[in-house]
Amino acid sequence: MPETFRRDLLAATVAEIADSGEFILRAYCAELESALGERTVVTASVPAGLLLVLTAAGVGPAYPVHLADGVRPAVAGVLRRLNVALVSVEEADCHIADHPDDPDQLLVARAGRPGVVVIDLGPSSRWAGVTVAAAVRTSDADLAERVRWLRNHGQDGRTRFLHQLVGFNARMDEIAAAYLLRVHFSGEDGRR
Amino acid sequence: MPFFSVARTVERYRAELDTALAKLDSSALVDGPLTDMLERRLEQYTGAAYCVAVGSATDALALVLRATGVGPGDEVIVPAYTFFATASTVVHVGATPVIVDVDPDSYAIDPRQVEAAITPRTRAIMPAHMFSQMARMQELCEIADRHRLMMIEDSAEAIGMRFGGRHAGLWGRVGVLSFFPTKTLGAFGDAGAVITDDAELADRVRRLARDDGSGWASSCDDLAAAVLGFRLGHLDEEITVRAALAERYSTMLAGLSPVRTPRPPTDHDPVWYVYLIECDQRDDLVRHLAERGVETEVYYPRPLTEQPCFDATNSVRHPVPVSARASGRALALPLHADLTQAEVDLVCAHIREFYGGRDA
Repeated sequence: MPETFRRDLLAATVAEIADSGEFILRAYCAELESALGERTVVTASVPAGLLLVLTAAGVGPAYPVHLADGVRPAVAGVLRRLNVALVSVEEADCHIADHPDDPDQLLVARAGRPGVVVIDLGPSSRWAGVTVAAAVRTSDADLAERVRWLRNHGQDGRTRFLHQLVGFNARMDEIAAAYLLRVHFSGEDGRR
Repeated sequence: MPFFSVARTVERYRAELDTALAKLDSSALVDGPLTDMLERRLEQYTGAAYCVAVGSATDALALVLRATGVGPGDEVIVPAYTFFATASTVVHVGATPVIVDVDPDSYAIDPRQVEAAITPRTRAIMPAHMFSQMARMQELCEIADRHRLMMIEDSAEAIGMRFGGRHAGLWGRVGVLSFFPTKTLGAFGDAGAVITDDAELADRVRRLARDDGSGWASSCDDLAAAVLGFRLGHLDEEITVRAALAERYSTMLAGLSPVRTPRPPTDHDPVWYVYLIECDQRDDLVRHLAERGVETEVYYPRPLTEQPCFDATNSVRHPVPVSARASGRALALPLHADLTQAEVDLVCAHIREFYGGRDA
Protein backbone atom coordinates (compact mmCIF):
# COMPACT_ATOMS: atom_id res chain seq x y z
CA MET A 1 0.00 0.00 0.00
CA PRO A 2 1.39 3.41 -0.89
CA GLU A 3 2.23 5.04 2.41
CA THR A 4 2.48 8.50 0.96
CA PHE A 5 -1.07 8.82 -0.43
CA ARG A 6 -1.91 12.48 0.12
CA ARG A 7 -5.63 12.90 -0.29
CA ASP A 8 -5.77 16.65 0.28
CA LEU A 9 -2.91 17.25 -2.10
CA LEU A 10 -4.66 15.14 -4.72
CA ALA A 11 -7.98 16.97 -4.29
CA ALA A 12 -6.23 20.33 -4.67
CA THR A 13 -4.35 19.09 -7.73
CA VAL A 14 -7.51 17.73 -9.38
CA ALA A 15 -9.30 21.05 -8.80
CA GLU A 16 -6.36 23.00 -10.21
CA ILE A 17 -6.10 20.86 -13.35
CA ALA A 18 -9.87 20.99 -13.92
CA ASP A 19 -9.67 24.76 -13.65
CA SER A 20 -6.69 25.04 -16.01
CA GLY A 21 -8.17 22.95 -18.82
CA GLU A 22 -4.69 21.47 -19.44
CA PHE A 23 -5.17 17.76 -18.97
CA ILE A 24 -2.63 15.58 -20.81
CA LEU A 25 1.09 15.95 -21.65
CA ARG A 26 1.31 19.63 -20.84
CA ALA A 27 3.53 21.71 -18.53
CA TYR A 28 3.50 19.39 -15.51
CA CYS A 29 4.46 16.37 -17.61
CA ALA A 30 7.32 18.38 -19.13
CA GLU A 31 8.40 19.50 -15.66
CA LEU A 32 8.33 15.93 -14.38
CA GLU A 33 10.46 14.85 -17.32
CA SER A 34 13.04 17.51 -16.43
CA ALA A 35 12.94 16.52 -12.77
CA LEU A 36 13.50 12.85 -13.61
CA GLY A 37 16.52 13.61 -15.78
CA GLU A 38 17.63 14.46 -19.27
CA ARG A 39 15.96 12.57 -22.16
CA THR A 40 13.17 11.25 -19.99
CA VAL A 41 9.79 10.64 -21.61
CA VAL A 42 6.82 10.16 -19.29
CA THR A 43 4.24 7.61 -20.38
CA ALA A 44 1.14 5.69 -19.35
CA SER A 45 2.56 2.53 -17.75
CA VAL A 46 5.58 0.22 -17.67
CA PRO A 47 4.25 -2.15 -20.36
CA ALA A 48 3.28 0.85 -22.51
CA GLY A 49 6.75 2.33 -22.02
CA LEU A 50 8.38 -0.96 -22.99
CA LEU A 51 6.14 -1.26 -26.05
CA LEU A 52 7.15 2.25 -27.12
CA VAL A 53 10.87 1.56 -26.57
CA LEU A 54 10.91 -1.74 -28.44
CA THR A 55 8.78 -0.40 -31.29
CA ALA A 56 11.00 2.68 -31.56
CA ALA A 57 14.09 0.45 -31.59
CA GLY A 58 12.69 -1.77 -34.33
CA VAL A 59 12.42 -4.81 -32.05
CA GLY A 60 9.70 -6.83 -33.72
CA PRO A 61 8.89 -10.30 -35.06
CA ALA A 62 11.76 -12.84 -34.64
CA TYR A 63 14.09 -10.25 -33.10
CA PRO A 64 16.39 -12.10 -30.64
CA VAL A 65 15.59 -10.94 -27.11
CA HIS A 66 16.78 -12.30 -23.77
CA LEU A 67 14.43 -11.91 -20.85
CA ALA A 68 15.98 -12.34 -17.40
CA ASP A 69 14.24 -14.49 -14.80
CA GLY A 70 11.76 -12.96 -12.43
CA VAL A 71 10.82 -9.92 -14.51
CA ARG A 72 7.19 -8.82 -14.07
CA PRO A 73 4.69 -10.75 -16.26
CA ALA A 74 3.69 -7.64 -18.18
CA VAL A 75 7.09 -7.66 -19.88
CA ALA A 76 6.64 -11.18 -21.26
CA GLY A 77 3.20 -10.08 -22.46
CA VAL A 78 4.64 -7.20 -24.47
CA LEU A 79 7.31 -9.49 -25.96
CA ARG A 80 4.63 -11.99 -27.01
CA ARG A 81 2.60 -9.18 -28.55
CA LEU A 82 5.63 -8.14 -30.62
CA ASN A 83 6.38 -11.76 -31.59
CA VAL A 84 10.05 -11.48 -30.68
CA ALA A 85 12.21 -14.60 -30.44
CA LEU A 86 13.10 -15.34 -26.81
CA VAL A 87 16.69 -16.61 -26.85
CA SER A 88 19.66 -17.21 -24.53
CA VAL A 89 21.87 -14.38 -23.27
CA GLU A 90 24.56 -15.28 -25.83
CA GLU A 91 22.20 -15.20 -28.81
CA ALA A 92 20.34 -12.01 -27.91
CA ASP A 93 20.69 -8.53 -29.40
CA CYS A 94 18.36 -7.09 -26.80
CA HIS A 95 18.40 -7.88 -23.07
CA ILE A 96 15.63 -7.08 -20.61
CA ALA A 97 16.06 -7.36 -16.86
CA ASP A 98 15.03 -5.78 -13.59
CA HIS A 99 17.49 -3.32 -12.11
CA PRO A 100 19.49 -5.25 -9.48
CA ASP A 101 18.99 -2.59 -6.81
CA ASP A 102 15.68 -1.02 -7.77
CA PRO A 103 12.59 -3.13 -8.45
CA ASP A 104 10.86 -0.09 -9.98
CA GLN A 105 13.37 0.03 -12.83
CA LEU A 106 13.36 -2.18 -15.89
CA LEU A 107 16.57 -2.23 -17.94
CA VAL A 108 16.61 -2.62 -21.71
CA ALA A 109 20.07 -3.13 -23.24
CA ARG A 110 20.67 -3.33 -26.98
CA ALA A 111 23.88 -4.38 -28.69
CA GLY A 112 26.01 -1.34 -29.49
CA ARG A 113 23.40 1.18 -28.36
CA PRO A 114 22.90 3.23 -25.19
CA GLY A 115 20.77 1.54 -22.54
CA VAL A 116 17.20 2.38 -21.66
CA VAL A 117 15.46 2.41 -18.29
CA VAL A 118 11.69 2.15 -17.85
CA ILE A 119 10.71 3.45 -14.42
CA ASP A 120 7.48 2.47 -12.70
CA LEU A 121 5.81 5.52 -11.18
CA GLY A 122 2.48 3.85 -10.38
CA PRO A 123 0.66 3.31 -7.09
CA SER A 124 2.50 0.10 -6.18
CA SER A 125 5.96 1.53 -6.91
CA ARG A 126 7.99 3.41 -4.32
CA TRP A 127 7.01 6.57 -6.24
CA ALA A 128 3.44 5.87 -5.20
CA GLY A 129 1.72 7.79 -7.98
CA VAL A 130 -2.05 8.13 -7.89
CA THR A 131 -2.48 6.51 -11.32
CA VAL A 132 -0.66 3.94 -13.39
CA ALA A 133 2.32 5.81 -14.82
CA ALA A 134 5.90 5.33 -15.96
CA ALA A 135 8.88 7.07 -17.54
CA VAL A 136 11.42 6.05 -20.17
CA ARG A 137 14.98 7.35 -19.72
CA THR A 138 17.80 6.95 -22.23
CA SER A 139 20.85 8.80 -23.48
CA ASP A 140 19.88 7.74 -27.02
CA ALA A 141 18.41 11.00 -28.33
CA ASP A 142 16.95 9.47 -31.49
CA LEU A 143 15.25 6.70 -29.57
CA ALA A 144 13.85 9.17 -27.02
CA GLU A 145 12.43 11.25 -29.87
CA ARG A 146 10.75 8.26 -31.49
CA VAL A 147 9.32 7.17 -28.12
CA ARG A 148 7.94 10.69 -27.69
CA TRP A 149 6.19 10.51 -31.07
CA LEU A 150 4.93 6.97 -30.59
CA ARG A 151 3.33 7.70 -27.19
CA ASN A 152 0.98 10.28 -28.73
CA HIS A 153 -0.34 8.55 -31.86
CA GLY A 154 2.84 9.10 -33.86
CA GLN A 155 2.43 12.89 -33.95
CA ASP A 156 5.71 14.78 -34.11
CA GLY A 157 4.77 17.31 -31.44
CA ARG A 158 4.76 20.18 -33.93
CA THR A 159 1.83 19.58 -36.27
CA ARG A 160 -1.37 18.43 -34.63
CA PHE A 161 -3.18 15.52 -36.32
CA LEU A 162 -0.20 14.77 -38.56
CA HIS A 163 0.72 11.16 -37.83
CA GLN A 164 4.26 10.31 -38.89
CA LEU A 165 4.23 6.88 -37.23
CA VAL A 166 1.49 4.37 -36.44
CA GLY A 167 1.73 5.35 -32.79
CA PHE A 168 -0.14 4.45 -29.63
CA ASN A 169 -2.00 6.28 -26.91
CA ALA A 170 0.48 5.97 -24.04
CA ARG A 171 0.34 9.44 -22.53
CA MET A 172 0.60 10.67 -18.98
CA ASP A 173 -2.06 12.85 -17.41
CA GLU A 174 -1.23 16.24 -15.90
CA ILE A 175 -2.81 15.29 -12.56
CA ALA A 176 -0.49 12.28 -12.32
CA ALA A 177 2.55 14.39 -13.16
CA ALA A 178 1.66 17.30 -10.87
CA TYR A 179 1.01 14.95 -7.94
CA LEU A 180 4.34 13.14 -8.43
CA LEU A 181 6.19 16.45 -8.70
CA ARG A 182 4.66 17.76 -5.51
CA VAL A 183 5.24 14.61 -3.50
CA HIS A 184 8.81 13.97 -4.65
CA PHE A 185 10.33 17.14 -6.00
CA SER A 186 8.76 20.30 -4.62
CA GLY A 187 8.26 19.69 -0.94
CA GLU A 188 5.25 21.94 -1.20
CA ASP A 189 1.70 20.93 -0.58
CA GLY A 190 -0.26 23.63 -2.25
CA ARG A 191 -0.53 25.37 -5.55
CA ARG A 192 2.56 26.91 -7.03
CA MET B 1 -12.40 32.04 -25.03
CA PRO B 2 -11.11 28.49 -24.68
CA PHE B 3 -12.17 25.78 -27.10
CA PHE B 4 -13.04 23.66 -24.10
CA SER B 5 -13.46 24.38 -20.42
CA VAL B 6 -14.86 22.52 -17.44
CA ALA B 7 -13.80 25.04 -14.80
CA ARG B 8 -17.20 26.64 -14.21
CA THR B 9 -18.94 23.27 -14.07
CA VAL B 10 -16.47 22.00 -11.49
CA GLU B 11 -16.79 25.21 -9.49
CA ARG B 12 -20.57 24.75 -9.43
CA TYR B 13 -20.39 21.14 -8.24
CA ARG B 14 -17.11 21.26 -6.31
CA ALA B 15 -18.60 19.62 -3.19
CA GLU B 16 -19.81 16.66 -5.28
CA LEU B 17 -16.40 16.25 -6.87
CA ASP B 18 -14.71 16.33 -3.46
CA THR B 19 -17.14 13.71 -2.18
CA ALA B 20 -16.33 11.50 -5.18
CA LEU B 21 -12.58 11.90 -4.61
CA ALA B 22 -12.98 11.13 -0.90
CA LYS B 23 -14.13 7.64 -1.90
CA LEU B 24 -10.74 6.79 -3.41
CA ASP B 25 -9.24 3.81 -1.63
CA SER B 26 -5.46 4.29 -1.48
CA SER B 27 -4.93 0.52 -1.52
CA ALA B 28 -6.95 0.04 -4.74
CA LEU B 29 -6.23 2.96 -7.03
CA VAL B 30 -6.26 0.94 -10.28
CA ASP B 31 -9.27 -1.06 -11.52
CA GLY B 32 -10.63 -0.62 -8.01
CA PRO B 33 -14.13 -0.32 -6.57
CA LEU B 34 -14.84 3.04 -8.21
CA THR B 35 -13.95 1.62 -11.64
CA ASP B 36 -16.28 -1.28 -10.95
CA MET B 37 -19.06 1.11 -9.96
CA LEU B 38 -18.46 3.24 -13.07
CA GLU B 39 -18.78 0.17 -15.30
CA ARG B 40 -22.15 -0.71 -13.73
CA ARG B 41 -23.40 2.86 -14.10
CA LEU B 42 -22.31 3.01 -17.75
CA GLU B 43 -24.15 -0.25 -18.38
CA GLN B 44 -27.22 1.36 -16.91
CA TYR B 45 -26.80 4.59 -18.87
CA THR B 46 -26.14 2.99 -22.26
CA GLY B 47 -28.26 -0.11 -21.81
CA ALA B 48 -25.22 -2.32 -22.53
CA ALA B 49 -25.19 -5.68 -20.82
CA TYR B 50 -21.46 -5.34 -20.21
CA CYS B 51 -18.96 -2.51 -19.83
CA VAL B 52 -15.22 -2.80 -19.30
CA ALA B 53 -13.40 0.43 -18.39
CA VAL B 54 -9.85 0.79 -19.72
CA GLY B 55 -7.11 3.39 -20.17
CA SER B 56 -8.35 5.05 -23.35
CA ALA B 57 -10.72 4.54 -26.28
CA THR B 58 -7.66 3.70 -28.38
CA ASP B 59 -6.88 0.84 -26.02
CA ALA B 60 -10.56 -0.12 -26.09
CA LEU B 61 -10.58 -0.39 -29.90
CA ALA B 62 -7.36 -2.42 -29.95
CA LEU B 63 -8.74 -4.74 -27.27
CA VAL B 64 -11.99 -5.19 -29.18
CA LEU B 65 -10.17 -6.03 -32.41
CA ARG B 66 -7.85 -8.42 -30.61
CA ALA B 67 -10.69 -10.06 -28.67
CA THR B 68 -12.76 -10.60 -31.81
CA GLY B 69 -9.79 -12.31 -33.44
CA VAL B 70 -9.13 -9.70 -36.14
CA GLY B 71 -5.52 -10.11 -37.24
CA PRO B 72 -3.03 -10.59 -40.07
CA GLY B 73 -4.68 -11.15 -43.45
CA ASP B 74 -7.94 -9.48 -42.37
CA GLU B 75 -9.26 -6.22 -43.76
CA VAL B 76 -11.36 -3.79 -41.73
CA ILE B 77 -13.29 -1.08 -43.58
CA VAL B 78 -12.93 2.28 -41.82
CA PRO B 79 -13.92 5.88 -42.64
CA ALA B 80 -11.35 8.40 -43.91
CA TYR B 81 -12.73 11.25 -41.83
CA THR B 82 -12.15 10.29 -38.23
CA PHE B 83 -9.58 10.32 -35.49
CA PHE B 84 -6.41 8.39 -36.26
CA ALA B 85 -7.08 5.54 -33.80
CA THR B 86 -9.97 4.19 -35.91
CA ALA B 87 -7.31 2.94 -38.35
CA SER B 88 -4.13 2.72 -36.23
CA THR B 89 -5.66 0.10 -33.94
CA VAL B 90 -6.41 -2.06 -36.98
CA VAL B 91 -2.72 -1.87 -37.90
CA HIS B 92 -1.73 -2.67 -34.31
CA VAL B 93 -3.52 -6.02 -34.40
CA GLY B 94 -1.78 -6.83 -37.69
CA ALA B 95 -4.82 -6.33 -39.93
CA THR B 96 -5.26 -3.88 -42.82
CA PRO B 97 -7.48 -0.80 -42.59
CA VAL B 98 -9.39 -0.21 -45.82
CA ILE B 99 -10.07 3.50 -45.85
CA VAL B 100 -13.21 4.72 -47.64
CA ASP B 101 -15.09 7.99 -47.98
CA VAL B 102 -17.83 9.44 -45.80
CA ASP B 103 -21.25 11.00 -46.11
CA PRO B 104 -20.98 14.82 -46.51
CA ASP B 105 -23.71 15.54 -43.96
CA SER B 106 -23.01 13.12 -41.11
CA TYR B 107 -19.26 12.71 -41.82
CA ALA B 108 -19.78 9.03 -41.04
CA ILE B 109 -18.79 6.19 -43.35
CA ASP B 110 -20.85 6.06 -46.57
CA PRO B 111 -22.61 2.68 -46.85
CA ARG B 112 -22.20 2.67 -50.66
CA GLN B 113 -18.45 3.08 -50.32
CA VAL B 114 -18.39 0.28 -47.77
CA GLU B 115 -20.20 -2.10 -50.08
CA ALA B 116 -17.83 -1.26 -52.94
CA ALA B 117 -14.75 -1.92 -50.80
CA ILE B 118 -15.68 -5.41 -49.63
CA THR B 119 -13.25 -8.15 -50.69
CA PRO B 120 -12.87 -11.82 -49.72
CA ARG B 121 -10.45 -10.64 -46.99
CA THR B 122 -12.93 -8.22 -45.38
CA ARG B 123 -13.57 -9.24 -41.79
CA ALA B 124 -15.28 -6.25 -40.22
CA ILE B 125 -16.85 -2.86 -40.83
CA MET B 126 -15.93 -0.17 -38.33
CA PRO B 127 -18.06 2.97 -38.68
CA ALA B 128 -17.28 5.96 -36.46
CA HIS B 129 -20.08 8.17 -35.15
CA MET B 130 -18.84 11.69 -35.60
CA PHE B 131 -19.38 15.04 -33.86
CA SER B 132 -23.14 15.01 -33.27
CA GLN B 133 -24.78 12.02 -34.91
CA MET B 134 -24.64 8.35 -35.65
CA ALA B 135 -23.66 6.61 -38.86
CA ARG B 136 -26.47 5.00 -40.91
CA MET B 137 -26.45 1.88 -38.78
CA GLN B 138 -29.47 0.15 -40.27
CA GLU B 139 -27.97 0.16 -43.76
CA LEU B 140 -24.52 -0.69 -42.49
CA CYS B 141 -25.79 -3.59 -40.39
CA GLU B 142 -27.71 -4.92 -43.41
CA ILE B 143 -24.52 -4.84 -45.47
CA ALA B 144 -22.60 -6.55 -42.67
CA ASP B 145 -25.27 -9.26 -42.35
CA ARG B 146 -25.44 -9.83 -46.09
CA HIS B 147 -21.67 -10.31 -46.34
CA ARG B 148 -21.28 -12.04 -42.97
CA LEU B 149 -19.03 -9.32 -41.61
CA MET B 150 -18.55 -8.22 -38.07
CA MET B 151 -19.82 -4.78 -37.08
CA ILE B 152 -17.49 -3.00 -34.66
CA GLU B 153 -18.53 0.54 -33.77
CA ASP B 154 -16.05 3.31 -33.07
CA SER B 155 -18.55 5.03 -30.83
CA ALA B 156 -15.79 6.88 -28.95
CA GLU B 157 -17.52 10.26 -29.51
CA ALA B 158 -21.03 8.98 -29.14
CA ILE B 159 -22.05 8.74 -25.51
CA GLY B 160 -25.70 9.69 -25.26
CA MET B 161 -26.36 9.09 -28.97
CA ARG B 162 -29.22 6.71 -29.66
CA PHE B 163 -30.92 5.59 -32.83
CA GLY B 164 -34.16 3.62 -32.63
CA GLY B 165 -33.79 3.60 -28.87
CA ARG B 166 -30.48 1.76 -29.02
CA HIS B 167 -27.31 3.45 -27.79
CA ALA B 168 -24.36 3.92 -30.13
CA GLY B 169 -21.94 1.03 -29.85
CA LEU B 170 -24.71 -1.50 -29.36
CA TRP B 171 -25.98 -1.75 -32.94
CA GLY B 172 -23.06 -3.92 -33.88
CA ARG B 173 -21.32 -6.60 -31.89
CA VAL B 174 -19.36 -4.19 -29.75
CA GLY B 175 -18.55 -0.50 -29.32
CA VAL B 176 -16.22 1.77 -27.40
CA LEU B 177 -16.47 5.01 -25.43
CA SER B 178 -13.86 7.73 -25.02
CA PHE B 179 -13.58 9.81 -21.88
CA PHE B 180 -10.88 12.10 -23.25
CA PRO B 181 -11.34 15.36 -21.32
CA THR B 182 -13.11 17.31 -24.08
CA LYS B 183 -15.60 14.52 -24.78
CA THR B 184 -19.27 14.91 -23.87
CA LEU B 185 -18.46 12.77 -20.82
CA GLY B 186 -14.84 13.60 -20.11
CA ALA B 187 -12.42 12.59 -17.38
CA PHE B 188 -9.54 14.90 -16.43
CA GLY B 189 -7.10 12.63 -18.25
CA ASP B 190 -7.26 9.64 -20.61
CA ALA B 191 -9.85 6.89 -20.08
CA GLY B 192 -12.15 4.76 -22.20
CA ALA B 193 -14.46 1.76 -22.17
CA VAL B 194 -15.78 -1.16 -24.16
CA ILE B 195 -19.56 -1.74 -24.27
CA THR B 196 -21.30 -4.82 -25.63
CA ASP B 197 -24.22 -7.16 -25.14
CA ASP B 198 -22.02 -10.16 -25.99
CA ALA B 199 -21.11 -11.92 -22.73
CA GLU B 200 -18.35 -14.05 -24.18
CA LEU B 201 -16.72 -11.09 -25.93
CA ALA B 202 -16.95 -8.94 -22.80
CA ASP B 203 -15.23 -11.69 -20.86
CA ARG B 204 -12.47 -11.97 -23.43
CA VAL B 205 -11.93 -8.18 -23.42
CA ARG B 206 -11.83 -8.13 -19.64
CA ARG B 207 -9.29 -10.96 -19.47
CA LEU B 208 -7.03 -9.28 -22.05
CA ALA B 209 -7.34 -5.90 -20.36
CA ARG B 210 -6.84 -7.07 -16.79
CA ASP B 211 -4.18 -9.75 -17.37
CA ASP B 212 -0.79 -8.07 -17.08
CA GLY B 213 0.77 -10.83 -19.13
CA SER B 214 -1.57 -10.55 -22.13
CA GLY B 215 0.44 -7.83 -23.83
CA TRP B 216 -2.77 -5.83 -24.25
CA ALA B 217 -3.38 -4.90 -20.61
CA SER B 218 -5.16 -1.60 -20.07
CA SER B 219 -6.48 -0.38 -16.76
CA CYS B 220 -8.78 2.36 -15.56
CA ASP B 221 -7.54 4.52 -12.71
CA ASP B 222 -10.04 4.92 -9.89
CA LEU B 223 -9.23 8.63 -9.99
CA ALA B 224 -10.67 8.77 -13.52
CA ALA B 225 -13.61 6.63 -12.40
CA ALA B 226 -14.30 9.03 -9.51
CA VAL B 227 -14.31 12.04 -11.85
CA LEU B 228 -16.45 10.23 -14.43
CA GLY B 229 -18.88 9.03 -11.78
CA PHE B 230 -19.35 12.61 -10.67
CA ARG B 231 -19.74 13.90 -14.24
CA LEU B 232 -22.08 11.08 -15.30
CA GLY B 233 -24.59 12.42 -12.78
CA HIS B 234 -24.79 15.63 -14.83
CA LEU B 235 -24.41 14.16 -18.31
CA ASP B 236 -27.99 14.51 -19.53
CA GLU B 237 -28.17 18.06 -18.25
CA GLU B 238 -24.89 18.87 -20.06
CA ILE B 239 -26.22 17.30 -23.26
CA THR B 240 -29.24 19.61 -23.00
CA VAL B 241 -27.01 22.64 -22.47
CA ARG B 242 -24.88 21.65 -25.48
CA ALA B 243 -28.01 21.25 -27.63
CA ALA B 244 -29.23 24.75 -26.73
CA LEU B 245 -25.81 26.23 -27.51
CA ALA B 246 -25.63 24.37 -30.84
CA GLU B 247 -29.07 25.64 -31.77
CA ARG B 248 -27.96 29.16 -30.90
CA TYR B 249 -24.90 28.85 -33.16
CA SER B 250 -27.08 27.64 -36.04
CA THR B 251 -29.54 30.50 -35.51
CA MET B 252 -26.85 33.15 -35.30
CA LEU B 253 -24.94 31.83 -38.35
CA ALA B 254 -28.05 31.25 -40.49
CA GLY B 255 -27.95 32.94 -43.88
CA LEU B 256 -24.20 33.62 -43.81
CA SER B 257 -23.35 32.18 -47.21
CA PRO B 258 -19.64 31.31 -46.71
CA VAL B 259 -20.58 29.15 -43.70
CA ARG B 260 -22.36 25.82 -43.78
CA THR B 261 -23.82 25.00 -40.39
CA PRO B 262 -24.10 21.34 -39.33
CA ARG B 263 -26.92 19.30 -40.80
CA PRO B 264 -28.57 17.48 -37.92
CA PRO B 265 -29.87 13.95 -38.45
CA THR B 266 -33.51 13.55 -39.44
CA ASP B 267 -34.08 10.12 -37.87
CA HIS B 268 -32.57 10.54 -34.40
CA ASP B 269 -31.71 13.24 -31.88
CA PRO B 270 -28.22 14.69 -32.17
CA VAL B 271 -25.86 14.83 -29.20
CA TRP B 272 -23.58 17.79 -29.68
CA TYR B 273 -20.07 16.66 -28.81
CA VAL B 274 -18.65 18.99 -31.49
CA TYR B 275 -20.27 21.89 -33.34
CA LEU B 276 -18.58 21.65 -36.75
CA ILE B 277 -19.09 24.19 -39.49
CA GLU B 278 -17.68 24.13 -43.00
CA CYS B 279 -16.50 27.49 -44.27
CA ASP B 280 -14.63 29.39 -46.98
CA GLN B 281 -11.13 30.67 -46.13
CA ARG B 282 -11.05 28.38 -43.11
CA ASP B 283 -7.44 28.99 -42.10
CA ASP B 284 -7.86 32.76 -42.31
CA LEU B 285 -10.98 32.52 -40.17
CA VAL B 286 -9.03 30.46 -37.60
CA ARG B 287 -6.47 33.28 -37.40
CA HIS B 288 -9.16 35.96 -37.23
CA LEU B 289 -10.86 34.19 -34.32
CA ALA B 290 -7.56 33.47 -32.55
CA GLU B 291 -6.62 37.15 -32.72
CA ARG B 292 -9.89 37.85 -30.92
CA GLY B 293 -9.17 35.24 -28.28
CA VAL B 294 -11.45 32.52 -29.64
CA GLU B 295 -9.88 29.06 -29.77
CA THR B 296 -11.07 26.61 -32.41
CA GLU B 297 -10.04 23.15 -33.59
CA VAL B 298 -9.73 21.70 -37.07
CA TYR B 299 -11.37 18.28 -37.04
CA TYR B 300 -9.66 17.01 -39.22
CA PRO B 301 -7.00 18.74 -41.29
CA ARG B 302 -6.43 15.71 -43.53
CA PRO B 303 -8.19 12.45 -44.35
CA LEU B 304 -6.59 9.26 -43.04
CA THR B 305 -5.54 8.47 -46.63
CA GLU B 306 -3.14 11.43 -46.42
CA GLN B 307 -1.47 10.50 -43.16
CA PRO B 308 2.22 9.85 -43.82
CA CYS B 309 2.19 6.68 -41.68
CA PHE B 310 -0.36 4.94 -43.90
CA ASP B 311 0.79 3.66 -47.26
CA ALA B 312 0.31 0.73 -49.59
CA THR B 313 2.22 -1.57 -47.21
CA ASN B 314 -0.14 -1.22 -44.24
CA SER B 315 -3.46 0.03 -45.66
CA VAL B 316 -5.80 0.13 -48.64
CA ARG B 317 -6.71 3.70 -49.59
CA HIS B 318 -9.77 4.36 -51.71
CA PRO B 319 -10.48 7.80 -53.26
CA VAL B 320 -12.02 10.07 -50.62
CA PRO B 321 -13.16 13.32 -52.30
CA VAL B 322 -15.80 14.14 -49.66
CA SER B 323 -13.28 13.78 -46.82
CA ALA B 324 -10.64 15.73 -48.72
CA ARG B 325 -13.02 18.63 -49.30
CA ALA B 326 -14.21 18.64 -45.67
CA SER B 327 -10.65 18.61 -44.34
CA GLY B 328 -10.01 21.93 -46.06
CA ARG B 329 -13.22 23.57 -44.81
CA ALA B 330 -14.20 22.09 -41.45
CA LEU B 331 -13.89 24.05 -38.25
CA ALA B 332 -15.05 23.15 -34.74
CA LEU B 333 -16.25 26.10 -32.66
CA PRO B 334 -16.12 26.18 -28.83
CA LEU B 335 -18.82 23.94 -27.34
CA HIS B 336 -18.90 22.81 -23.74
CA ALA B 337 -21.08 23.02 -20.67
CA ASP B 338 -19.20 26.08 -19.36
CA LEU B 339 -20.05 28.09 -22.47
CA THR B 340 -22.76 30.77 -22.33
CA GLN B 341 -25.17 31.95 -24.99
CA ALA B 342 -23.52 35.38 -24.86
CA GLU B 343 -20.19 33.77 -25.71
CA VAL B 344 -21.77 31.90 -28.64
CA ASP B 345 -23.19 35.21 -29.86
CA LEU B 346 -19.74 36.80 -29.60
CA VAL B 347 -18.11 33.99 -31.63
CA CYS B 348 -20.80 34.36 -34.29
CA ALA B 349 -20.33 38.15 -34.36
CA HIS B 350 -16.60 37.63 -34.97
CA ILE B 351 -17.38 35.19 -37.78
CA ARG B 352 -19.82 37.63 -39.39
CA GLU B 353 -17.26 40.41 -39.05
CA PHE B 354 -14.68 38.22 -40.84
CA TYR B 355 -16.92 37.64 -43.81
CA GLY B 356 -17.94 41.31 -43.90
CA GLY B 357 -21.64 40.59 -43.83
CA ARG B 358 -21.61 38.40 -46.93
CA ASP B 359 -25.13 37.23 -46.18
CA ALA B 360 -27.07 35.15 -48.63
